[in-house]
Formats: sequence, C-alpha cells, structure tokens
Amino acid sequence: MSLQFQMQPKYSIIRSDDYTLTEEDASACVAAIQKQIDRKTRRFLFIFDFENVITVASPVWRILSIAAKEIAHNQSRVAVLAGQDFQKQAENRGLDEVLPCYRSLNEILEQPSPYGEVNEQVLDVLNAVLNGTSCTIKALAGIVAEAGLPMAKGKHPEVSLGVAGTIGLQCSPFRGSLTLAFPLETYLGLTSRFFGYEVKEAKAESGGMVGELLNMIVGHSKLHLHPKHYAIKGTPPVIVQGTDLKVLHASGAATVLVPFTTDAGRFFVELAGISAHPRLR
Amino acid sequence: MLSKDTRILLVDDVPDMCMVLRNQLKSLGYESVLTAESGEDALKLIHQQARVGEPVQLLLTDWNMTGISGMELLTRLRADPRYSNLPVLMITFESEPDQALKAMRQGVTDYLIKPFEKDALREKLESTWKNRS
Repeated sequence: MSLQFQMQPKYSIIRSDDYTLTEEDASACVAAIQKQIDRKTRRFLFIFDFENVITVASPVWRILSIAAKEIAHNQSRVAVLAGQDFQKQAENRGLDEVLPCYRSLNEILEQPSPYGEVNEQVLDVLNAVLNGTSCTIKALAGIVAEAGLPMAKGKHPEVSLGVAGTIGLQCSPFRGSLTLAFPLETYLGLTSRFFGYEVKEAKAESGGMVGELLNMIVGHSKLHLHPKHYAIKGTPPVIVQGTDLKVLHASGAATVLVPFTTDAGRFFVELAGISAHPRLR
Repeated sequence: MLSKDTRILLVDDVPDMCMVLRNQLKSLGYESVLTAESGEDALKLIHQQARVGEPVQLLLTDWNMTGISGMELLTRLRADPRYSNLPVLMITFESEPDQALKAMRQGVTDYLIKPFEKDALREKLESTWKNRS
C-alpha cells in the first residue's frame, strides 16, 4: 500500500502511487474520509489522486462508490484525478457520476460545488429537509426512502413527472422553496401504501396528499432546527398534476436536487435558494 | 385499555389524510372509526351520535383546518358540559413547544406531531384514553 494524504484547508488529496489499487488501499481511503467526516467536516472536497492507477480490483469499485455516497451525504464532494484507463473503467461500471473523473487538479478546483454558494446554515436546512422526507415517507407508507447523491439541478436526466408540489420556505438563513416531484407511477405506488389499497389513478383532489407531505416535512424540519433558533415558516403549498410536468426555478437560483429511492419508485426533492417560487408547468 | 370497539371520531379537512389515518387506525385494529372532513361536520356528528345513544368516545382531530380549526373545535367541546370530558388527541405539524403548551392549556388530552408511525399513534391513543378525566 502506498497511499499519501495531503491536507489543505478546503480539500484533501488521497494519492496512490501504485499502478494497482487494492482493497487495502480503498479501505484506507474510506478510513481517512471517515476521520474527516467524524470531525463534522462539511462541504469539503475529497480528491482521489489515482492518476497512476491502471488496474482496479473489482471489490474496490464497490468500496469507493460507498465512500463517495457517504461523502455526498455529508454535503461534501468527491473528485478523482485519473488517467484514461481509470476513467474508462468507471464509465463502464456506471460509476462516472458517483466518482467523477478529471484530468487536472485545476479542473477539479474550478468545478462549482453542487450546493451552490450557500452557507452552513442553508445546509442545516437541507439536512433537516432530507431527514424530514425520509421520516415522513417511513411514517406514512412504512417504507424506506433513501436519499441519493445531491446534485445541482440540471445534472440529473429529465424524468417524466406526474405530480409535483412546492412550498415557500422562509427562515433567517434561507429564503427559497422546497419542491417534491413524483413520476406518476411512484405517486400511485406511494399513495397505495398510504391508503392501504391500490390507487390506479391520480384524482384531481388527491394533490392534497402532496401538500400534507410538504407540510409534514417542513414541520419536521422546524422541530429539528428549533434548537438552532431557525424560525422556519412555510407558505401554503401549491400542487399540480399532469403529464410531463417540469419544475422550473427562477434563473440563477442555486438549486440542489436530491433523488430518493423507495420500493414504490423514485421521486425528487428540490431545494432552491431563491426568493421566488418555482413555476410548475 | 382502549378497546377495538371504542368509537373514535377522526377529523381532518384533507380527505387523503383522513384516508391515511383511517388506514392506520384500521391496521391497529380499531373497528369503530367515524370520519369528518371539517370541524363543522365533526360537531354535527358528535351531537348526532349522542342523540342516538352511541356517543363518540375519543376525538382524534387535526389542528390546522379551514373553517373550525382543531383548537376551535376543542374550545367548543370543552365549553359544553356534555363533552367537557371527551378525550381529545390533537394532531399537528406545529412542532414548536409553545404551540403544544397552548393546546394543553385549552384542555387537549394529548397531542401528536405529524409525521408519526402507527405505533406512536397507538401509544398516544392509549395514553389519551388513560388520561381522560
């Protein structure tokens, strides 16, 4: 094992000088990252310098992708400085989004954070919202809703949405909106679990459920942010149903999109740090 | 202990939420569940049930409702000697401690903050029943 660690104020470089990346190397990377995360580092950049690496043992990919997800859950970012061989292997395994590869350190440092120019307090709001979303789905449907990698809006491929709702959020560190967006199949699957019988279509009045979900998520966030004296206020939710809905935020809005996975399908949470509501169409 | 035959009136002005809660109550084994989608309808139903000799025995109501809110419903019931002892479990997403205190002062038996899992609902229903005056 020949890993080297270099700490900078805003990023850490974990470098392997070997041609082969072993399980032992990967585990050491994870341990180093975990140590940083345990210090409650947030919005930190972890750079894997694997420029010399040509061969990657199969289990290593799994370890690295788990580490990358852990990093993302802590609102930090991972980037890989890699040669073509590593990049190709990551692409072939569908891990290029989880482990984005770059050719130079400058290129990595020039990339904007997926969280936009936001402060720690806004991340507190995001964390509370994501936690509130999982708790609400678990409470009402009895299923796990797992948050995926947060990403800047626009990085995720467009998905056909059937039901979406948005709520304005105001508190001292944050002014913006929270949006829940569901593909129709997911919405029907979730409401079937909520109601205890199979729901086959989204009725006009059933948007009320999305409003309730939004209110519950905001209520949950309030509870969790109360000790920090964030006085969150939510506006009445706005819900739309239709075919191929799109959620558009005001231009220039820093918007974080977080995909959630459940047994009933995927859905999306968007937190836009702007002063205007998004337009739903 | 709350029996499965206890007549529970569930009040929520969001029909979907009413359905969700009804489903949770059903899965907990409570078989005698009445529903109302407004505070006004709840009052009518409470009077009507009393008239036919099958009074509502426990009220489970949302706080935030258009028209007569959960708090208003509670105030009206507490002012009526026939219902002043009706156990009331208030559901809310108003999670600030002062809101809960306000509800307690108004005479709510207990309150539950959304979202909650059905085990939490069962516990609160039991404690509401146990603490009825």
